[in-house]
Amino acid sequence: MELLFDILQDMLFSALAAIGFASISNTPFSAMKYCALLGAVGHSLRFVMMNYMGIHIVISAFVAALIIGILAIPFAPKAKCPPETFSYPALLPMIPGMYAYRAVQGLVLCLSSNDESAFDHYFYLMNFNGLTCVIVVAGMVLGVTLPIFVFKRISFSATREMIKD
Amino acid sequence: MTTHLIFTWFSIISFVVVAILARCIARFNGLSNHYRFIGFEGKEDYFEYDDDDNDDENYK
Amino acid sequence: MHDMLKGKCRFISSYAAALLGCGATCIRIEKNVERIARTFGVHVDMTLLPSHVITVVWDKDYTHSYNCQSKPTGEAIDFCRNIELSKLSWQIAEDKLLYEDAANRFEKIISQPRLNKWLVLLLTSTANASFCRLFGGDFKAVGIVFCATLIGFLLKQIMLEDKIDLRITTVLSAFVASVIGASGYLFGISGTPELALGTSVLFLVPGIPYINAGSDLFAGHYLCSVSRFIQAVILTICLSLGLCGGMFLMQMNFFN
Repeated sequence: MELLFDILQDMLFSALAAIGFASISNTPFSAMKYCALLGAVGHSLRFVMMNYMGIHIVISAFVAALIIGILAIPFAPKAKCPPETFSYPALLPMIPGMYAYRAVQGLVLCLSSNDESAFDHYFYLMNFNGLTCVIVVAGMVLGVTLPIFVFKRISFSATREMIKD
Repeated sequence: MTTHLIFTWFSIISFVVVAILARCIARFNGLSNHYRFIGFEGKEDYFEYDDDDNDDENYK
Repeated sequence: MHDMLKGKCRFISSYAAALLGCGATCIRIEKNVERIARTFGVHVDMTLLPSHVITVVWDKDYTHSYNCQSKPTGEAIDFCRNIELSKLSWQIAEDKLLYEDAANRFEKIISQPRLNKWLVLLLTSTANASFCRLFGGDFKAVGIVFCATLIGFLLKQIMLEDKIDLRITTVLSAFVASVIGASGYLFGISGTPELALGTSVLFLVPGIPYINAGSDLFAGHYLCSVSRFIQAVILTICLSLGLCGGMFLMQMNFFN
Protein backbone atom coordinates (compact mmCIF):
# COMPACT_ATOMS: atom_id res chain seq x y z
CA MET A 1 0.00 0.00 0.00
CA GLU A 2 2.81 2.35 0.88
CA LEU A 3 4.51 1.42 -2.39
CA LEU A 4 1.36 2.34 -4.30
CA PHE A 5 1.06 5.64 -2.47
CA ASP A 6 4.74 6.48 -3.19
CA ILE A 7 4.33 5.64 -6.87
CA LEU A 8 1.14 7.71 -7.18
CA GLN A 9 2.79 10.67 -5.49
CA ASP A 10 5.80 10.33 -7.79
CA MET A 11 3.54 10.17 -10.85
CA LEU A 12 1.58 13.25 -9.81
CA PHE A 13 4.62 15.44 -9.21
CA SER A 14 6.49 14.32 -12.31
CA ALA A 15 3.36 14.96 -14.40
CA LEU A 16 3.20 18.52 -12.98
CA ALA A 17 6.90 19.01 -13.66
CA ALA A 18 6.56 17.75 -17.24
CA ILE A 19 3.61 20.10 -17.92
CA GLY A 20 5.49 23.07 -16.51
CA PHE A 21 8.60 22.47 -18.56
CA ALA A 22 6.48 21.82 -21.64
CA SER A 23 4.86 25.23 -21.22
CA ILE A 24 8.28 26.95 -21.31
CA SER A 25 8.84 25.45 -24.76
CA ASN A 26 5.41 26.62 -25.91
CA THR A 27 3.82 23.20 -26.34
CA PRO A 28 0.17 23.35 -27.44
CA PHE A 29 -2.44 22.43 -24.82
CA SER A 30 -3.62 19.42 -26.81
CA ALA A 31 -0.16 17.85 -26.45
CA MET A 32 0.29 18.67 -22.78
CA LYS A 33 -1.83 15.78 -21.48
CA TYR A 34 0.46 13.35 -23.31
CA CYS A 35 3.51 15.12 -21.82
CA ALA A 36 2.03 14.66 -18.36
CA LEU A 37 1.23 11.00 -18.99
CA LEU A 38 4.64 10.17 -20.40
CA GLY A 39 6.43 12.13 -17.66
CA ALA A 40 4.45 10.31 -14.99
CA VAL A 41 5.04 6.87 -16.50
CA GLY A 42 8.76 7.42 -17.15
CA HIS A 43 9.67 8.91 -13.81
CA SER A 44 7.66 6.44 -11.74
CA LEU A 45 9.19 3.56 -13.69
CA ARG A 46 12.65 4.90 -12.92
CA PHE A 47 11.64 5.35 -9.27
CA VAL A 48 10.43 1.76 -8.99
CA MET A 49 13.50 0.36 -10.77
CA MET A 50 15.95 2.30 -8.61
CA ASN A 51 14.32 2.02 -5.20
CA TYR A 52 12.50 -1.29 -5.28
CA MET A 53 14.43 -3.36 -7.79
CA GLY A 54 17.87 -1.98 -6.94
CA ILE A 55 18.84 -1.31 -10.55
CA HIS A 56 21.60 1.23 -11.15
CA ILE A 57 20.50 4.75 -12.07
CA VAL A 58 22.15 4.68 -15.51
CA ILE A 59 20.24 1.59 -16.63
CA SER A 60 16.95 2.68 -15.04
CA ALA A 61 17.19 6.11 -16.68
CA PHE A 62 17.94 4.55 -20.08
CA VAL A 63 15.06 2.07 -19.83
CA ALA A 64 12.64 4.75 -18.62
CA ALA A 65 13.66 7.08 -21.47
CA LEU A 66 13.29 4.22 -23.97
CA ILE A 67 9.77 3.51 -22.69
CA ILE A 68 8.90 7.22 -22.99
CA GLY A 69 10.27 7.29 -26.53
CA ILE A 70 8.40 4.15 -27.54
CA LEU A 71 5.11 5.31 -26.00
CA ALA A 72 5.38 8.69 -27.72
CA ILE A 73 5.28 7.06 -31.18
CA PRO A 74 1.64 5.83 -31.14
CA PHE A 75 0.48 9.04 -29.42
CA ALA A 76 2.03 11.23 -32.11
CA PRO A 77 -0.50 10.64 -34.92
CA LYS A 78 -3.37 10.89 -32.38
CA ALA A 79 -2.28 14.35 -31.24
CA LYS A 80 -1.10 15.37 -34.73
CA CYS A 81 2.27 16.38 -33.26
CA PRO A 82 5.80 15.10 -33.78
CA PRO A 83 6.65 12.61 -31.00
CA GLU A 84 9.48 14.77 -29.70
CA THR A 85 6.88 17.40 -28.73
CA PHE A 86 5.81 15.29 -25.78
CA SER A 87 8.77 13.00 -25.21
CA TYR A 88 11.38 15.76 -24.73
CA PRO A 89 9.52 17.67 -21.98
CA ALA A 90 8.55 14.34 -20.36
CA LEU A 91 12.25 13.56 -20.04
CA LEU A 92 13.13 16.75 -18.18
CA PRO A 93 11.96 15.68 -14.69
CA MET A 94 14.48 12.83 -14.88
CA ILE A 95 17.57 15.02 -15.25
CA PRO A 96 19.86 14.16 -12.29
CA GLY A 97 20.37 17.57 -10.70
CA MET A 98 21.89 16.36 -7.45
CA TYR A 99 24.77 14.55 -9.16
CA ALA A 100 25.62 17.69 -11.12
CA TYR A 101 25.62 19.79 -7.95
CA ARG A 102 27.84 17.33 -6.09
CA ALA A 103 30.23 17.33 -9.05
CA VAL A 104 30.49 21.13 -8.98
CA GLN A 105 30.81 21.09 -5.20
CA GLY A 106 33.61 18.52 -5.51
CA LEU A 107 35.37 20.72 -8.05
CA VAL A 108 35.21 23.80 -5.81
CA LEU A 109 36.30 21.89 -2.71
CA CYS A 110 39.16 20.13 -4.46
CA LEU A 111 40.51 23.38 -5.84
CA SER A 112 40.41 24.94 -2.40
CA SER A 113 41.90 21.96 -0.54
CA ASN A 114 45.33 22.15 1.02
CA ASP A 115 46.67 18.61 1.23
CA GLU A 116 46.83 15.74 -1.20
CA SER A 117 44.45 13.34 0.53
CA ALA A 118 41.66 15.96 0.72
CA PHE A 119 42.29 16.85 -2.93
CA ASP A 120 42.17 13.19 -3.93
CA HIS A 121 38.95 12.65 -2.03
CA TYR A 122 37.16 15.64 -3.59
CA PHE A 123 38.60 14.83 -7.02
CA TYR A 124 37.14 11.34 -6.72
CA LEU A 125 33.75 12.80 -5.68
CA MET A 126 33.79 15.25 -8.57
CA ASN A 127 34.65 12.57 -11.12
CA PHE A 128 32.21 10.02 -9.76
CA ASN A 129 29.29 12.41 -9.67
CA GLY A 130 30.23 14.16 -12.90
CA LEU A 131 30.62 10.92 -14.85
CA THR A 132 27.38 9.50 -13.46
CA CYS A 133 25.52 12.66 -14.42
CA VAL A 134 26.98 12.75 -17.95
CA ILE A 135 26.35 9.06 -18.62
CA VAL A 136 22.80 9.21 -17.23
CA VAL A 137 21.96 12.18 -19.49
CA ALA A 138 23.61 10.48 -22.49
CA GLY A 139 21.63 7.30 -21.77
CA MET A 140 18.38 9.25 -21.55
CA VAL A 141 19.03 11.11 -24.80
CA LEU A 142 19.88 7.82 -26.54
CA GLY A 143 16.79 6.13 -25.13
CA VAL A 144 14.40 8.83 -26.28
CA THR A 145 15.95 9.39 -29.71
CA LEU A 146 16.26 5.71 -30.70
CA PRO A 147 12.52 5.05 -31.21
CA ILE A 148 12.16 8.18 -33.35
CA PHE A 149 14.78 6.86 -35.75
CA VAL A 150 13.54 3.29 -35.67
CA PHE A 151 9.93 4.28 -36.39
CA LYS A 152 10.87 6.97 -38.90
CA ARG A 153 7.74 6.63 -40.98
CA ILE A 154 5.37 7.31 -38.10
CA SER A 155 7.55 9.98 -36.49
CA PHE A 156 7.81 12.08 -39.61
CA SER A 157 4.23 11.74 -40.80
CA ALA A 158 2.52 12.46 -37.50
CA THR A 159 1.41 15.94 -38.54
CA ARG A 160 -0.22 14.64 -41.70
CA GLU A 161 -4.00 15.09 -42.01
CA MET A 162 -5.97 11.85 -42.11
CA ILE A 163 -6.13 10.41 -45.61
CA LYS A 164 -9.76 10.34 -46.69
CA ASP A 165 -10.59 7.18 -48.62
CA MET B 1 26.45 37.40 11.64
CA THR B 2 23.04 35.99 10.82
CA THR B 3 21.41 39.43 11.13
CA HIS B 4 23.93 40.74 8.63
CA LEU B 5 23.00 37.93 6.23
CA ILE B 6 19.28 38.52 6.76
CA PHE B 7 19.83 42.19 6.04
CA THR B 8 21.67 41.31 2.80
CA TRP B 9 18.89 38.91 1.84
CA PHE B 10 16.16 41.49 2.43
CA SER B 11 18.02 44.18 0.52
CA ILE B 12 18.57 41.94 -2.52
CA ILE B 13 14.94 40.77 -2.54
CA SER B 14 13.57 44.30 -2.08
CA PHE B 15 15.79 45.59 -4.88
CA VAL B 16 14.60 42.88 -7.25
CA VAL B 17 10.93 43.29 -6.32
CA VAL B 18 11.07 47.08 -6.68
CA ALA B 19 12.93 46.78 -10.01
CA ILE B 20 10.33 44.35 -11.36
CA LEU B 21 7.42 46.51 -10.17
CA ALA B 22 8.98 49.65 -11.64
CA ARG B 23 9.53 47.86 -14.96
CA CYS B 24 5.95 46.55 -15.05
CA ILE B 25 4.51 49.98 -14.22
CA ALA B 26 6.70 51.70 -16.80
CA ARG B 27 5.69 49.18 -19.46
CA PHE B 28 2.02 49.49 -18.49
CA ASN B 29 2.22 53.24 -18.95
CA GLY B 30 4.00 52.80 -22.28
CA LEU B 31 7.04 54.70 -21.09
CA SER B 32 9.49 52.05 -22.14
CA ASN B 33 8.67 52.48 -25.82
CA HIS B 34 10.30 55.88 -25.88
CA TYR B 35 13.78 55.14 -24.70
CA ARG B 36 15.70 51.88 -24.93
CA PHE B 37 19.17 51.95 -23.50
CA ILE B 38 20.16 48.35 -23.46
CA GLY B 39 20.86 46.62 -26.71
CA PHE B 40 23.30 43.74 -26.66
CA GLU B 41 22.26 42.35 -29.96
CA GLY B 42 23.85 45.14 -31.95
CA LYS B 43 20.72 46.85 -33.16
CA GLU B 44 21.46 49.80 -35.42
CA ASP B 45 19.92 52.29 -32.99
CA TYR B 46 21.04 52.07 -29.42
CA PHE B 47 18.81 55.05 -28.77
CA GLU B 48 15.41 55.02 -30.42
CA TYR B 49 13.47 58.15 -29.75
CA ASP B 50 10.05 59.33 -30.68
CA ASP B 51 10.92 62.16 -32.99
CA ASP B 52 8.16 63.46 -35.21
CA ASP B 53 10.62 64.69 -37.80
CA ASN B 54 12.09 61.24 -38.19
CA ASP B 55 11.55 59.63 -41.53
CA ASP B 56 10.53 56.12 -40.51
CA GLU B 57 10.72 54.87 -44.05
CA ASN B 58 14.45 54.29 -43.66
CA TYR B 59 13.95 51.85 -40.80
CA LYS B 60 11.41 49.64 -42.51
CA MET C 1 11.87 30.69 -64.64
CA HIS C 2 14.29 32.77 -62.62
CA ASP C 3 11.53 34.51 -60.67
CA MET C 4 9.79 31.23 -60.00
CA LEU C 5 12.99 29.64 -58.71
CA LYS C 6 13.79 32.75 -56.69
CA GLY C 7 10.40 32.75 -54.98
CA LYS C 8 10.58 29.04 -54.18
CA CYS C 9 14.15 29.29 -52.94
CA ARG C 10 13.37 32.21 -50.67
CA PHE C 11 10.32 30.41 -49.30
CA ILE C 12 12.25 27.19 -48.63
CA SER C 13 15.11 29.15 -47.08
CA SER C 14 12.90 31.11 -44.69
CA TYR C 15 10.96 27.92 -43.87
CA ALA C 16 14.16 26.09 -42.92
CA ALA C 17 15.41 29.11 -40.99
CA ALA C 18 12.15 29.32 -39.04
CA LEU C 19 12.29 25.61 -38.19
CA LEU C 20 15.94 25.87 -37.11
CA GLY C 21 15.15 28.91 -34.98
CA CYS C 22 12.29 27.19 -33.17
CA GLY C 23 14.52 24.32 -32.08
CA ALA C 24 13.58 21.56 -34.47
CA THR C 25 15.98 18.69 -35.01
CA CYS C 26 18.01 18.79 -38.24
CA ILE C 27 16.53 15.58 -39.58
CA ARG C 28 13.02 17.00 -39.27
CA ILE C 29 14.06 20.13 -41.18
CA GLU C 30 15.64 17.99 -43.91
CA LYS C 31 12.61 15.73 -44.33
CA ASN C 32 10.14 18.61 -44.41
CA VAL C 33 12.20 20.58 -46.93
CA GLU C 34 12.60 17.49 -49.14
CA ARG C 35 8.84 17.02 -49.14
CA ILE C 36 8.18 20.66 -50.06
CA ALA C 37 10.81 20.63 -52.80
CA ARG C 38 9.37 17.45 -54.32
CA THR C 39 5.91 19.05 -54.48
CA PHE C 40 7.26 22.30 -55.95
CA GLY C 41 9.08 20.28 -58.62
CA VAL C 42 12.54 21.56 -57.76
CA HIS C 43 15.70 19.99 -56.43
CA VAL C 44 17.07 21.39 -53.19
CA ASP C 45 20.54 21.18 -51.62
CA MET C 46 20.57 22.52 -48.11
CA THR C 47 23.42 23.13 -45.70
CA LEU C 48 22.37 23.39 -42.06
CA LEU C 49 24.92 25.31 -40.04
CA PRO C 50 24.49 26.41 -36.44
CA SER C 51 23.75 30.04 -37.28
CA HIS C 52 22.93 29.92 -40.99
CA VAL C 53 20.94 27.96 -43.52
CA ILE C 54 22.27 27.88 -47.09
CA THR C 55 19.74 26.72 -49.65
CA VAL C 56 20.42 26.02 -53.31
CA VAL C 57 17.39 25.34 -55.49
CA TRP C 58 17.73 23.79 -58.95
CA ASP C 59 15.01 23.40 -61.52
CA LYS C 60 13.93 19.93 -62.71
CA ASP C 61 16.62 19.61 -65.39
CA TYR C 62 19.48 21.09 -63.37
CA THR C 63 19.87 23.98 -65.82
CA HIS C 64 19.09 26.98 -63.58
CA SER C 65 19.69 27.52 -59.91
CA TYR C 66 19.12 30.10 -57.22
CA ASN C 67 20.75 30.20 -53.82
CA CYS C 68 19.83 31.92 -50.62
CA GLN C 69 21.25 32.19 -47.15
CA SER C 70 19.14 32.87 -44.07
CA LYS C 71 19.73 33.25 -40.38
CA PRO C 72 17.48 31.32 -38.00
CA THR C 73 14.48 33.40 -36.90
CA GLY C 74 12.57 33.18 -33.65
CA GLU C 75 13.78 33.71 -30.11
CA ALA C 76 13.30 30.50 -28.16
CA ILE C 77 12.23 26.91 -28.56
CA ASP C 78 8.68 26.83 -29.82
CA PHE C 79 7.01 23.47 -30.32
CA CYS C 80 3.75 25.07 -31.55
CA ARG C 81 5.58 26.64 -34.45
CA ASN C 82 7.43 23.37 -35.11
CA ILE C 83 4.12 21.49 -35.30
CA GLU C 84 2.41 24.07 -37.51
CA LEU C 85 5.35 24.24 -39.92
CA SER C 86 5.52 20.44 -40.18
CA LYS C 87 1.75 20.40 -40.82
CA LEU C 88 2.30 23.04 -43.52
CA SER C 89 4.81 20.83 -45.30
CA TRP C 90 2.27 17.99 -45.40
CA GLN C 91 -0.47 20.38 -46.59
CA ILE C 92 1.81 21.54 -49.40
CA ALA C 93 2.54 17.93 -50.35
CA GLU C 94 -1.02 16.61 -50.19
CA ASP C 95 -3.12 19.60 -51.27
CA LYS C 96 -0.50 20.57 -53.86
CA LEU C 97 -0.46 24.19 -52.67
CA LEU C 98 1.12 26.84 -54.88
CA TYR C 99 4.05 28.56 -53.35
CA GLU C 100 2.18 31.87 -52.94
CA ASP C 101 -0.50 30.18 -50.81
CA ALA C 102 2.19 28.37 -48.89
CA ALA C 103 4.02 31.64 -48.29
CA ASN C 104 0.81 33.27 -46.97
CA ARG C 105 0.16 30.40 -44.56
CA PHE C 106 3.79 30.54 -43.51
CA GLU C 107 3.49 34.26 -42.65
CA LYS C 108 0.39 33.53 -40.57
CA ILE C 109 2.18 30.78 -38.64
CA ILE C 110 5.21 32.98 -37.97
CA SER C 111 3.08 35.79 -36.57
CA GLN C 112 1.27 33.62 -34.02
CA PRO C 113 2.01 34.66 -30.43
CA ARG C 114 3.31 32.36 -27.72
CA LEU C 115 1.36 31.05 -24.72
CA ASN C 116 0.19 33.59 -22.14
CA LYS C 117 3.33 34.47 -20.16
CA TRP C 118 1.56 34.55 -16.78
CA LEU C 119 0.31 31.01 -17.34
CA VAL C 120 3.82 29.89 -18.27
CA LEU C 121 5.15 31.59 -15.11
CA LEU C 122 2.65 29.77 -12.91
CA LEU C 123 3.18 26.40 -14.58
CA THR C 124 6.98 26.72 -14.39
CA SER C 125 6.88 27.61 -10.69
CA THR C 126 4.62 24.63 -10.04
CA ALA C 127 6.93 22.42 -12.08
CA ASN C 128 10.05 23.45 -10.18
CA ALA C 129 8.26 23.05 -6.87
CA SER C 130 7.22 19.52 -7.93
CA PHE C 131 10.84 18.89 -8.78
CA CYS C 132 11.78 19.74 -5.21
CA ARG C 133 9.17 17.31 -3.95
CA LEU C 134 10.46 14.59 -6.31
CA PHE C 135 13.95 15.01 -4.85
CA GLY C 136 12.46 14.45 -1.40
CA GLY C 137 11.99 17.97 -0.06
CA ASP C 138 9.40 18.67 2.61
CA PHE C 139 6.46 20.96 1.88
CA LYS C 140 8.10 24.08 3.33
CA ALA C 141 11.05 23.59 0.97
CA VAL C 142 8.53 23.16 -1.86
CA GLY C 143 6.98 26.51 -0.91
CA ILE C 144 10.38 28.22 -0.86
CA VAL C 145 11.24 26.80 -4.28
CA PHE C 146 7.85 27.95 -5.66
CA CYS C 147 8.54 31.54 -4.56
CA ALA C 148 12.15 31.42 -5.77
CA THR C 149 11.08 30.18 -9.21
CA LEU C 150 8.24 32.70 -9.43
CA ILE C 151 10.54 35.68 -8.93
CA GLY C 152 13.49 34.18 -10.82
CA PHE C 153 11.43 33.29 -13.89
CA LEU C 154 9.58 36.63 -13.85
CA LEU C 155 12.94 38.36 -13.84
CA LYS C 156 14.08 36.18 -16.75
CA GLN C 157 10.93 36.96 -18.75
CA ILE C 158 11.34 40.71 -18.18
CA MET C 159 15.03 40.70 -19.08
CA LEU C 160 14.42 38.66 -22.22
CA GLU C 161 11.67 41.07 -23.27
CA ASP C 162 14.24 43.84 -22.95
CA LYS C 163 16.50 41.81 -25.24
CA ILE C 164 19.25 41.40 -22.65
CA ASP C 165 21.70 38.62 -23.56
CA LEU C 166 20.45 35.19 -22.52
CA ARG C 167 23.65 34.33 -20.65
CA ILE C 168 23.57 37.40 -18.45
CA THR C 169 19.86 36.83 -17.88
CA THR C 170 20.58 33.27 -16.74
CA VAL C 171 23.32 34.39 -14.33
CA LEU C 172 21.16 37.09 -12.73
CA SER C 173 18.06 34.93 -12.62
CA ALA C 174 19.98 32.05 -11.01
CA PHE C 175 21.52 34.49 -8.53
CA VAL C 176 18.14 35.83 -7.40
CA ALA C 177 16.54 32.36 -7.30
CA SER C 178 19.39 30.95 -5.23
CA VAL C 179 19.27 33.89 -2.79
CA ILE C 180 15.57 33.20 -2.22
CA GLY C 181 16.25 29.45 -2.10
CA ALA C 182 18.80 30.05 0.67
CA SER C 183 16.08 31.39 2.93
CA GLY C 184 15.55 27.84 4.20
CA TYR C 185 18.97 28.00 5.83
CA LEU C 186 18.72 31.65 6.79
CA PHE C 187 15.39 31.55 8.61
CA GLY C 188 15.52 27.89 9.64
CA ILE C 189 12.18 27.30 7.97
CA SER C 190 12.53 23.95 6.29
CA GLY C 191 13.78 20.52 7.33
CA THR C 192 15.55 20.02 4.00
CA PRO C 193 17.07 23.44 3.21
CA GLU C 194 19.78 22.00 0.97
CA LEU C 195 17.15 20.63 -1.42
CA ALA C 196 15.38 24.00 -1.50
CA LEU C 197 18.64 25.71 -2.44
CA GLY C 198 19.63 23.06 -4.95
CA THR C 199 16.34 22.84 -6.81
CA SER C 200 15.56 26.56 -6.81
CA VAL C 201 17.62 27.12 -9.98
CA LEU C 202 16.68 24.01 -11.95
CA PHE C 203 14.09 25.85 -14.05
CA LEU C 204 16.99 27.48 -15.94
CA VAL C 205 18.60 24.21 -17.06
CA PRO C 206 18.43 24.07 -20.90
CA GLY C 207 17.22 20.48 -21.17
CA ILE C 208 15.85 20.51 -24.70
CA PRO C 209 19.05 21.77 -26.42
CA TYR C 210 20.91 18.80 -24.90
CA ILE C 211 18.35 16.36 -26.28
CA ASN C 212 18.30 18.09 -29.68
CA ALA C 213 22.10 17.82 -29.77
CA GLY C 214 21.79 14.08 -29.20
CA SER C 215 19.27 13.73 -32.01
CA ASP C 216 21.51 15.69 -34.41
CA LEU C 217 24.46 13.51 -33.44
CA PHE C 218 22.44 10.41 -34.36
CA ALA C 219 21.48 11.89 -37.70
CA GLY C 220 25.06 12.81 -38.57
CA HIS C 221 24.74 16.60 -38.30
CA TYR C 222 27.81 16.85 -36.12
CA LEU C 223 28.35 20.58 -36.50
CA CYS C 224 24.83 21.46 -35.36
CA SER C 225 25.02 18.84 -32.63
CA VAL C 226 28.24 20.20 -31.15
CA SER C 227 27.03 23.78 -31.50
CA ARG C 228 23.77 23.10 -29.66
CA PHE C 229 25.64 21.13 -27.02
CA ILE C 230 28.14 23.95 -26.41
CA GLN C 231 25.31 26.52 -26.23
CA ALA C 232 23.60 24.37 -23.60
CA VAL C 233 26.85 23.87 -21.67
CA ILE C 234 27.49 27.63 -21.62
CA LEU C 235 24.01 28.26 -20.23
CA THR C 236 24.58 25.59 -17.60
CA ILE C 237 27.87 27.25 -16.62
CA CYS C 238 26.09 30.63 -16.35
CA LEU C 239 23.47 29.01 -14.16
CA SER C 240 26.19 27.56 -11.89
CA LEU C 241 27.90 30.95 -11.72
CA GLY C 242 24.67 32.57 -10.56
CA LEU C 243 24.09 29.80 -8.04
CA CYS C 244 27.65 30.05 -6.70
CA GLY C 245 27.33 33.82 -6.47
CA GLY C 246 24.12 33.51 -4.49
CA MET C 247 25.58 30.88 -2.22
CA PHE C 248 28.75 32.91 -1.69
CA LEU C 249 26.75 36.02 -0.77
CA MET C 250 24.58 34.08 1.66
CA GLN C 251 27.74 32.40 2.97
CA MET C 252 26.51 28.92 2.22
CA ASN C 253 29.81 27.22 1.56
CA PHE C 254 28.50 23.71 1.44
CA PHE C 255 25.49 21.63 0.72
CA ASN C 256 25.02 18.07 1.87
